[in-house]
Amino acid sequence: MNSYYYLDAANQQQGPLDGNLLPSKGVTAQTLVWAQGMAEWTAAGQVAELQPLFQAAQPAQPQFQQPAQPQYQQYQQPAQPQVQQPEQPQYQQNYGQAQYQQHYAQAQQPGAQGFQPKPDNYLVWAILTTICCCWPLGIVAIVYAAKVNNLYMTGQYQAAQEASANAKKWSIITAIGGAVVVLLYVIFYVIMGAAIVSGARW
Amino acid sequence: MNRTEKIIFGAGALCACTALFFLNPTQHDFMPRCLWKSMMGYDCPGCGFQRALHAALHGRLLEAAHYNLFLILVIPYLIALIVSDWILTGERAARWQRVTHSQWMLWGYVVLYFLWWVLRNVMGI
Repeated sequence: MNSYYYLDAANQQQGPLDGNLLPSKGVTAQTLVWAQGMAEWTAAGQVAELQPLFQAAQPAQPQFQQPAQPQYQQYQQPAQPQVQQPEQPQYQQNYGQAQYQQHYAQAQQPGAQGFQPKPDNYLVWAILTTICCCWPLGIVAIVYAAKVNNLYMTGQYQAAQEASANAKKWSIITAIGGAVVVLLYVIFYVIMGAAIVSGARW
Repeated sequence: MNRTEKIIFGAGALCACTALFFLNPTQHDFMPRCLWKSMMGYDCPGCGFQRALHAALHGRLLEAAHYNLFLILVIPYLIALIVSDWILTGERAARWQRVTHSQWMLWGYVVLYFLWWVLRNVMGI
């Protein structure tokens, strides 16, 4: 399970924390959570991976959905043929979307932006590559790592995400480059060694 | 970093240290050499880290420092980074990261990196 950030009762960002542990920290299906790779903060009950954790313990969810039901059917009836009516899953899907959009809108508000978690800047990898791979390219990754922190501090979350992606990209480029060089070197010597041994035998 | 990635990283680090404990880079030709040094003839900032780690793992710290002085700074920093980013969580992690991820730290590292690169080649250290 992924690690999630969540908002506590005081709307303070907490975590990251393994998803399984979220309910023990008082996270409910309505609590906003965020994990690496998610576009926006989302109610925990809306995250596919977390849904099983809340389904058993959360009788509040169906209660919350029911009042909206008649309204929806009234609206849909004139447009849809009667056969469509019993199709319950479609309704729930639409409702989920609406709820998602609501949270999406909340996250877009300036006030809510303080909850964005800091994107990973992959600094450990950047430092490792500057030492192990002989490739000063790792410095590029460090510069991007510094940018992630700086942009995040000044509230430019979108740009911070991009810098984070760049820090990751350059760490990977440097690490793969270094690994390829090391691999080629070892293969070269194994072949050379084999050639010398077999040459000596003949 | 999720749990699986942490385990893979830890296992990889352990393998590398075990290999460097038993293999002395100065005695085996197949130990990878620095591509930069092979091409340019100059030391890169990381040159000597395998020999230094080998010496350090055998308790010969002075010899390790002789192979790569810069590692005296980098290894503790790297350990602090791993602790702050991957081991600690929540408020404690944030407190550590205020130091390990500070702009001073990052830009200081970049400056020292290049300074070390020049100095080690000019002064032969």
